[in-house]
Amino acid sequence: MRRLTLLALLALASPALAESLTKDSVLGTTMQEVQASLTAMGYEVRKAEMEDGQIEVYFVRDGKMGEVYVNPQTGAVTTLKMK
Amino acid sequence: MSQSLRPTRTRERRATVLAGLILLQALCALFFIGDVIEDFRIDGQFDNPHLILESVAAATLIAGVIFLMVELRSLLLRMSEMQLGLDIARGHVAEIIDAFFAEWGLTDAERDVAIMMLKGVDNDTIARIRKTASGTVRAQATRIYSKSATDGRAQFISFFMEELMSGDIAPEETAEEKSDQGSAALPEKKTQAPKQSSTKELT
Amino acid sequence: MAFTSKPNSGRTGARSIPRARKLISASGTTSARDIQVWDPLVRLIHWSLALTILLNGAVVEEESQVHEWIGYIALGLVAIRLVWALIGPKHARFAAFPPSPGRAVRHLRDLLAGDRRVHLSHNPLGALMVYNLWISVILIGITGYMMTTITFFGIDWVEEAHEVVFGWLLFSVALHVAGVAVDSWRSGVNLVRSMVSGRKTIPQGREVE
Repeated sequence: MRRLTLLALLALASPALAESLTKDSVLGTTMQEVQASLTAMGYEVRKAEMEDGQIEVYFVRDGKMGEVYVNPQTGAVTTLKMK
Repeated sequence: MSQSLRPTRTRERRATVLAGLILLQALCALFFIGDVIEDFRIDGQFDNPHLILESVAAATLIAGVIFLMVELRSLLLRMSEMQLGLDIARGHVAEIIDAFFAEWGLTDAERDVAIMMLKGVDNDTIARIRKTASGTVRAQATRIYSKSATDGRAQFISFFMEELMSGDIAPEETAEEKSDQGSAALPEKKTQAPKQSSTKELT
Repeated sequence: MAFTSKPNSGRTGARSIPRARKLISASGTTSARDIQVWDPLVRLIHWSLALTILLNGAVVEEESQVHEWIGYIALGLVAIRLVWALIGPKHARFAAFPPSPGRAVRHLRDLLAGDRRVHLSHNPLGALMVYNLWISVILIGITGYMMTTITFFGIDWVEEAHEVVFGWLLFSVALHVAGVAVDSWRSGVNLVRSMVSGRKTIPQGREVE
């Protein structure tokens, strides 16, 4: 339990060590799961909604903005758009 | 408005081109300004040569836009003043013509015919417009020449040309007539070129 | 002494000679007259702005770069118009159509009473509409820009505002078109053509600045 908390703390505190979102990431099959995964990876979630049957999330990290589309069946990223 | 007097057509085209240039230039200026603002937000500094160049470009474009706007405004003013002058001249001409027609005692129908004669319309066309016979128009024309003491169409027309080209626009006024009406009064002699004018209206 | 010749009956037969209608009244004061009102810059901006609204509202994809560019162009057009309203010719200036709800109400009362006067620049009601349209475009543009900044990216109220004000803009445009149609009919002046050619052909009414 303590290790998980430590890891979570580390992930939030040091973005350099945090996992990066890529086109191959698997985030989750529901909006809550996707948001939680992103937050755990150090991304600030701004907005989440369903669009064209996909889970769409707007996020911000390190002064960069982006949108990610996740397939709710597989939980995998289908489109990643950095702005 | 008479289509025959359009010295402003070139000016209108020029004004439109100016407007288009102002628009494009202003959009370019805004583009550079936007870029400068964005870069400044990211950098926070102003020593980057790229930024300085863009700022100079934006400033120059803005100066150009303001200058062109002032130019366009003064061009439009010149155009409207010219139009006003034309309108005033037309008004005066109408007054002169009306005054002579009244003095000659032309009937309403003869007035209409006389105007068209002055505009260079031939008898047959006048008849067509007024939906009467050519013979009627010819008779009216004859009465017009008689009342105006002219020999024919050419002399009738040139009578007015002479009046208008004598240098002053308004016909001669007597002392009494000058005191009651500010605008053109009835001329005393129909063949005399007017020397006096109500110049206050001309300026 | 202006012309007092009465217009002939059957003047419609004179269509073969274009100037026949004007032949009777050389002074121009008893027939229709043309007055230059809208300068080329006002007209150019008006139709360009209408085009940007049409494109961004109905043609261009919402989340695209083109959408953004057109939005900035719309903002630019309004900005240019505002500057022109400060230093431009008479009819284009703010002074010619001040924002005054009081005047608009009075104008409305006059209309209902059958007033047929013609305003050269925007009439008081039209003035309110014009300011409304400009402010709406500015708000839409600003919220649109905000959405591209990190601070406001993905923030709900910004997106909502952007959409709500745009809806308001569409409604205003419909009202604007209707208003122009009604005013053209009431005053006898073809307002749409005047925004194309710049000239208002005024029947025999009086003018008000």
